[in-house]
Amino acid sequence: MRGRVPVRDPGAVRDRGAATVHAATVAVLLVVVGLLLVQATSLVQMKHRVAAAADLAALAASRASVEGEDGCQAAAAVARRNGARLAACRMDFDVATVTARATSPRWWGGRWATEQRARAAPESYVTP
Amino acid sequence: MTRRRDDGMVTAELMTVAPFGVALAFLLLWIVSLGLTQVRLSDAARESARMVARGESTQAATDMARRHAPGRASVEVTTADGEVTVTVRTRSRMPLPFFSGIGSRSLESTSVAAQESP
Repeated sequence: MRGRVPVRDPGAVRDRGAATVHAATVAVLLVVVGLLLVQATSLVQMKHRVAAAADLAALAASRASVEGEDGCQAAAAVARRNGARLAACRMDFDVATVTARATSPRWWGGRWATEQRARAAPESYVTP
Repeated sequence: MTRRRDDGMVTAELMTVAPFGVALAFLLLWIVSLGLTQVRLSDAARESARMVARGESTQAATDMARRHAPGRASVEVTTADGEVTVTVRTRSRMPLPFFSGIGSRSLESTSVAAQESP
């Protein structure tokens, strides 16, 4: 059909290269979706890291408190060694409740932060 | 004037471009799977650090980390100054039959815990 259209410049209606354009569009879309997936994965990764830091920091704080040391200081040290920052720390006798926090690197012009709370005792042990 | 017909040109172009698209999709999935491997490594490191901190044997913690980490992971447990450091490493390979060497990366995760019983 296309070949029979009478035009002055036959090159103008040829669809050579049309698939390349579509392929480029699909490739760009794939890359964008891929980047979003990569970012989602790295945020999940960060959440797990922060959860581990909070968990271990709460345990360290309670242990230090039992030994008569400063619990929150121990928690801060352990959280830092695990790649997170201690955002909040409260001691109810020897029970530590800590919140660890980490911030993602800059993505799409913004940063994401994760916070995880951990408590080194069952809720009923010492009611805050 | 000879007029070349370009019927079927799109199909031909698509056939040359398609492998690149498939390769790109594979690459992206591979990167995501590396991230998930890293998550599993950090969970394994955390759990075994907790175990050692609680006073269980290094052997038990190592076995636990090996069970939880993907692939054939190596586990390194060091205890110093009342702190337990567990590093879990694994080599992540591309899930391809002949090209598993391409993009094979070694990943690691470290957790630090305070020891409970001195």
